[in-house]
Amino acid sequence: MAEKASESSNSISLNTVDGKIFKVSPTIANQMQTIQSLIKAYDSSRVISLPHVNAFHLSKIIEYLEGKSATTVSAVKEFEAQFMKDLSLKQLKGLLIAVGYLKVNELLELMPKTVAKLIENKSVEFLRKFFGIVNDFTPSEEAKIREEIAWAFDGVDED
Amino acid sequence: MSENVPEALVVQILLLLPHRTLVRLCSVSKAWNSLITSHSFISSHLQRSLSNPTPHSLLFIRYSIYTTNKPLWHYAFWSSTDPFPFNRFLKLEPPYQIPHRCSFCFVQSLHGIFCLVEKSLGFDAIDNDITLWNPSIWRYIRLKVPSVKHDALGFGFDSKNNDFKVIIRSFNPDEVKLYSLNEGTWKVLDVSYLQGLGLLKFSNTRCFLNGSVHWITYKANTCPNKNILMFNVEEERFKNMELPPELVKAKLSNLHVSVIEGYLTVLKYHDIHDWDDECDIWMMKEYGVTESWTKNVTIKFPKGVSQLFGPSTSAKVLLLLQENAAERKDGDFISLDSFNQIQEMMEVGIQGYKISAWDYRQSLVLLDKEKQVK
Repeated sequence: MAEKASESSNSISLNTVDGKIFKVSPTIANQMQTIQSLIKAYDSSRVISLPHVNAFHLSKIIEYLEGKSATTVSAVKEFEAQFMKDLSLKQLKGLLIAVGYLKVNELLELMPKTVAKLIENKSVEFLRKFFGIVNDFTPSEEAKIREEIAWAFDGVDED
Repeated sequence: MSENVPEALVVQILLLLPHRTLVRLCSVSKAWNSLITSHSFISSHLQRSLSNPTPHSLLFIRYSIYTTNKPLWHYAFWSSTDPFPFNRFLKLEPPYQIPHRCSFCFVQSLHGIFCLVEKSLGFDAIDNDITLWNPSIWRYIRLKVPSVKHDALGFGFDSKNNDFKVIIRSFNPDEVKLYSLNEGTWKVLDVSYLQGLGLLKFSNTRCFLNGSVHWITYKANTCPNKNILMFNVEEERFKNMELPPELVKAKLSNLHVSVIEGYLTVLKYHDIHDWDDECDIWMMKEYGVTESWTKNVTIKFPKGVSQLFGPSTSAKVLLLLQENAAERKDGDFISLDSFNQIQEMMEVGIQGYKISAWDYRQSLVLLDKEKQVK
């Protein structure tokens, strides 16, 4: 209890790109490597601005860090599964970028696995859009490659 | 959100995808194409898959359908479990049509690659070209080699250099040749160690374990007259290892070297009496320690077993069961747990005969090579 009290008095303020202020405990903040180094660099009483993270993503990251630290090993697994299930692929992408920027190690382990599972059977066109990749093949180059690997196109999901 | 996922994370995601998806993603863009077909990506993908063994086993099956002239071979992947996306069974084309009066001899399956040798049929068969085939991505490369009789052939993976190597021992000419997939060339190795051992007869079977190809060798008029000869593909050096006296006494043709449950294993078949076969399973419990050779169990085969093998992906032994070949019944697998209890019977339902099977792992190896199965 004493620790909790001291934590709240040391709480760190984070300002998201859409202007929302979050107050988090040092335990939570330290699990985001980028913030950890910002705390070291600046006076901890200052509000830390996060120009690449919006409120939804930060609230999700905090929800994850609080959720997984509060329970037992098997419960963590269950919590993680539910946490990922609640997110759409589009939300996962945004969250992944935020997690990459804030360097939340545990989510950096977990999220690529979740995303990989979800995109396994997606079409090439879907994945170009998802990862923001421009198709730089000429139509004839693409047709040639596709012909060579036609067998790999069986069983692709509808977009 | 218009921002893109950072490249390092994209690579991390790609490394988690199965081989089939990755081959498809070669058509996303030029950058993805060169990333996925790079040697370093293929190696990292293999390393990942080796450190995360899949819970389900995949078997590569060869079977033949009888024609009037000669057996016509067919190939397929077979999986006992979903999510194998092909209703458990996927037929495969052979890498290429091999010359008339030749047949593929399967040397070894390792990390998605089969090493095959074209053998001419008939008495005193000659060995021709060697092929490295990855049936999961429809790629192969064919290695032109002089047509001579190979006294021993081995295939291994050099994990230090992420390289696959083929070794050929022949007595006429008296040489040892080694092929490196990374280098794409053959080199001649120093043969003096083998010459010191004299005229060895090699077992028809070989296995790959702990960086080395293992054969059983026989040399007349010596004591002991049988040994295990190893070739370490990283150090490119030969070494000898002893067998227990019980195995030294057996006929060379009754001894099969293999890997079961990660142990160096020798299957000692008893002499065959009409479909009533028995096999002793010997395991080297501590690798490299001769005293640790242990006879695990004697398996009495149910009627019609044609093959016994241990998949590396699970702690089970599989028996390939085939009713009398003349009746052309379907093949089935029996899975043995703890070597004696028949645990489950898996119906393969392959209509054919001369069925044989290998434990298989899908990989991207050879995706960076030019040749392709047409």
